[in-house]
Amino acid sequence: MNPTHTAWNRLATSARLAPAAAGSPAPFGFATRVAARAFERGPTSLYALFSWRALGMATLIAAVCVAVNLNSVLKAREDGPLTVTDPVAEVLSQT
Amino acid sequence: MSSDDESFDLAACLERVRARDQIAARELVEHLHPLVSRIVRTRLPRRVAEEDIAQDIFLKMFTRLEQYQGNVPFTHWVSRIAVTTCIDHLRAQQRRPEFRWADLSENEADVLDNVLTNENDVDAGEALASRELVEKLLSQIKPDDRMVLQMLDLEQKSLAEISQLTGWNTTLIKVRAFRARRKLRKLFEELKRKERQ
Repeated sequence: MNPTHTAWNRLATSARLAPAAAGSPAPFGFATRVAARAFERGPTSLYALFSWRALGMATLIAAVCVAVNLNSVLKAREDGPLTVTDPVAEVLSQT
Repeated sequence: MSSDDESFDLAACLERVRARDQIAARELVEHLHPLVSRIVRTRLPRRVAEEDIAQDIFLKMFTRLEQYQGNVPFTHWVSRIAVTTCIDHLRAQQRRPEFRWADLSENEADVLDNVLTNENDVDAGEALASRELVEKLLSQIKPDDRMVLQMLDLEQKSLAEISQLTGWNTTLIKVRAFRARRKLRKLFEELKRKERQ
């Protein structure tokens, strides 16, 4: 089938005859509003972008670490306070 | 002031915008608005809030201004932001569930009837109805495919131009055009079966 004879091609050919959309000047106050909004956000440098990403990743890693080690920490707390023995005192007491 | 205005010193204006000069930013928006509004009007259905999308495009432009290296003309760079924003907007829209004869105006139904039932060209006086009908048909296909078909068949842009505007490679553009035409062909067959029920 010759593509120029398809329904779509005939329709598109006809639609192309319609006047093309024209651009228009900015409405009153539009440029001022957009310019003000653009600067109220502050500059986004590559450094700032990476800083936010790094902060997000660090938070995620910290949360995963806490989740993984939570059981061990709780168990250790249940076992009571840590007792540290002084090896020198032990040797002296045995002699 | 428009994007075709040769007296406008774009390079100097960009320098001032980078130095956070709000007046220069306003001038830049005024300079580029005709270009941006033309892109939005050409590529999005008439019912969308054109001003909101234009604002979105300009805010993206200011946010990414530091990334502009000057490898392409500034207007091309802004056009690309505008086209991709239009595609994002189309993706966010809900697609109409079904295309029905009942949704068409009398003129649009006549045009559709004409292209479905005979091999003659559509009457030149029906151009506006054809344009409206095309818009309704295109709303039935995926936004990316729709954008490709619109640029290829309605704006008659080359594959290289589409690639520059969208960032897609030519193979992907051809695949999308093929997929969109196949979908439209199915739609036409379906409409022919249900003709003016």
